[in-house]
Amino acid sequence: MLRLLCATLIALGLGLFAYRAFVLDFPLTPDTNSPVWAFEIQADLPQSDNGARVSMYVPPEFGRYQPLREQFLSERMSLSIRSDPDGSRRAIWTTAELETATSVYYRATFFMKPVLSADRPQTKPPRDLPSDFDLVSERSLEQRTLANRMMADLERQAYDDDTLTSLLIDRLRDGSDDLARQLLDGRVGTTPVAETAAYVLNQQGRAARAVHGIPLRETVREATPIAWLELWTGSEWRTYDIASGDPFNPEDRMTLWRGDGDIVSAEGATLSGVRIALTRRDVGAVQALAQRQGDAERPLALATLLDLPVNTQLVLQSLLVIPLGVLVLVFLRQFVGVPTFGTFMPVLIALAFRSATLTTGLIILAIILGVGMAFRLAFSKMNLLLVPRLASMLTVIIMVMIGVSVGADSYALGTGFSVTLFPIVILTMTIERLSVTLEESGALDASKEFVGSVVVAVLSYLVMAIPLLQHLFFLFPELLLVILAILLMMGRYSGFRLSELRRFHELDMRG
Amino acid sequence: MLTTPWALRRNGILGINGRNVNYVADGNPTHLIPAVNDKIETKELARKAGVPTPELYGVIEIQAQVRHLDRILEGRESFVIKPARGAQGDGILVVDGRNRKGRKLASGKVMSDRALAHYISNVLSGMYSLQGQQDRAMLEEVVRFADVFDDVAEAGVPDLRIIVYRGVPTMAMARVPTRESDGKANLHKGGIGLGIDIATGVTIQGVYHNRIIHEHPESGAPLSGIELPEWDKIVEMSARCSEPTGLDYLGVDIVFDQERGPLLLELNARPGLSVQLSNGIGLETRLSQITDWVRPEHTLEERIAFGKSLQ
Repeated sequence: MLRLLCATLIALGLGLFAYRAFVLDFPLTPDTNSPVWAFEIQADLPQSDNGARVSMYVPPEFGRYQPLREQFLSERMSLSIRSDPDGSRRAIWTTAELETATSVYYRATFFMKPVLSADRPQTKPPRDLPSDFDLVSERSLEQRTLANRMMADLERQAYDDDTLTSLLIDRLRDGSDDLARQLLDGRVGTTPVAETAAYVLNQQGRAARAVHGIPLRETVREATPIAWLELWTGSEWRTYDIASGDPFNPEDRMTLWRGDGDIVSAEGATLSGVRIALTRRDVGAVQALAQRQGDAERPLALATLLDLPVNTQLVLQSLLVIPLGVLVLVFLRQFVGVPTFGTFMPVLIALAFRSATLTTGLIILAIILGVGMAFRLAFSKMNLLLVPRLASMLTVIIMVMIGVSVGADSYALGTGFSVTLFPIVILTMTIERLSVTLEESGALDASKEFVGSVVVAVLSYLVMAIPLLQHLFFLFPELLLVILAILLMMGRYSGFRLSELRRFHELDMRG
Repeated sequence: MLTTPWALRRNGILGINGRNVNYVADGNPTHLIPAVNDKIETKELARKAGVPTPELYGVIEIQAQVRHLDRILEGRESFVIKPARGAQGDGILVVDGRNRKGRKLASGKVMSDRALAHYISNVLSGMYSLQGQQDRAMLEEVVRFADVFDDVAEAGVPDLRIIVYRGVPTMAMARVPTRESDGKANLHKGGIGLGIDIATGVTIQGVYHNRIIHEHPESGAPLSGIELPEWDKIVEMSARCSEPTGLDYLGVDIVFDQERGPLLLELNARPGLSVQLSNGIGLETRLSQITDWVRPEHTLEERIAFGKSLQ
């Protein structure tokens, strides 16, 4: 029964943890810096009486890189956003009149790591293959003839579609023969090559298209989109690099749009400038995760405590490591046999240490306990009733804490240390226990328990202060299920304690 | 100085975790434990079992009753004040008589009536109870300690602790105060645990600060071979306590009175493990034999006989 429960808890905890860590790519360590890209497209428009319509390709919604945040900015122009069947997204700004020159902006921040599954459908397969008498094509009849001639050439050399595509790209890029030069019409760069290759392939009834995007490498003030080729293999789009002519994985390229055309086009006005800027910023993975908000449709598994208000987060950060400290305490009590005051007193003391350094915490604890004990001894001579005496002790401890706070402040001892985090009631009870133990069991027992408590508190503190554990329990609270299972199992531990190996060692010789 | 867990297991030693999990948690139902922790309820259990206890003069439950102390005592001047839920003999006050200044204590001090009232109110507010709950103060007959341990117990009143498992007397030990333990019988305060052969009532060896000893650490008197009187009666008394408490694993504390003989002092639902050191035998050895043997239909006599036959 207990085993089944523990196994379930562990499976559940670790399963959720593994899913979130490895499938959803939640950062496992606190300080993995992953780059965040700030991306901006700016289009300038001159003054125009007729009004204008600006169409700008912006990164697709469901691309490999999801925008953390995006903004569409303009002055007095109305905005609409359209999605094309191939997944491209266009921001369209319109206005009836442009009184002065103006600019429109698209700004977005992207997280380098794909946070959702990389297998998200990038684009749908082509519905219809392009016809070979494409009347709307801007290209001339002559171009079509050239394309057919080139294909006929290549088909003699190529082994399959893959090599055919590579050969085509190589030939167009090199521009070594007339045919290629004529097809490109004198233009150079990856964009005409990709577009022309797509055109040539389309003429042969193959679904292909040019893809435009930006390589995510370094900060670039003025980036130029580059292009690559996508060919439909019947089940997926295969991507070909223009520079090498080979298939590749465009994981370091941010896709902007697909098909022919420019990133920004305008009707009714001539664009006076288009600028693409890219800034790389390294931020903590956790921060990047925190920024990924506002996605209403994301699965519950993506929800994190980072979504909560910051104050709540701080409280939870403390709460989430308590079970770890308790685990240390249970281990030391059940397996080692360290005597302590009270059950959870050492962990609460350890928690108080967290807001200071260990040394400062210990010094303050010593001051409070020392002064408290002095008052306790004085009070016990006055024959006070138990509850009023405890209440008096509580008041004394609060006064000592105020004194320590003021003192710490004026000597700049542990700046930012909040003395109030020391559990006042626990300290009161600790002093009570300490003095009762001292009176009834003597100084030896009292000091044993006291030293035991401090050792447990320090060890709990050291474990709770491990940044990796803090991070893991905050991002993966499901790990608490594992702790719970371990604690439950410890609850049925019936083996010997380390201290008993000493206590009963004389019985060994007899047996 | 250290041994290994497997060596302890081979010798049938019971550890604290083993006791708590296998015997206390599994054998002693939680709702039955408060009755043994409360000495007033223990007296009721003992009456049902037909086991003699020190006479209860009265119980003080609220502060106002302190004024009627003399009426409760019916003129008796020597009595013991005990917190009903006190642990380890804490908070026990022995009053031996009175004079003009107040009550004379067994320790020789004199306590004014006001100090006594204060003392009782501390008892009532739970100063000595296990979890600091409200408590009651018992006024009880003073046990006139019978000197059955010869010159071993010079410093205070020893008591007997018998472990009873499922009605079978399992292992026995006397707890003897020393000067170091300040007259208290608690082993962790420096008292001596004196192992007693459950079959014969003859002492075996001592344990002092978790070390096995053969002579008294203060007087040098030999600790083995002391024969306790009325042993069969003591074993029977302890076995009788098992049934009314409903607890599988029980510690029975017994003292000797000069006139009345052995009296039940208190019961314990989680008795300590030093009895193993003082007997030189692991408890688990005997407990597992009992587990294998015992059946609900076994009579008290059969259980006692089996306990005495344990090796």
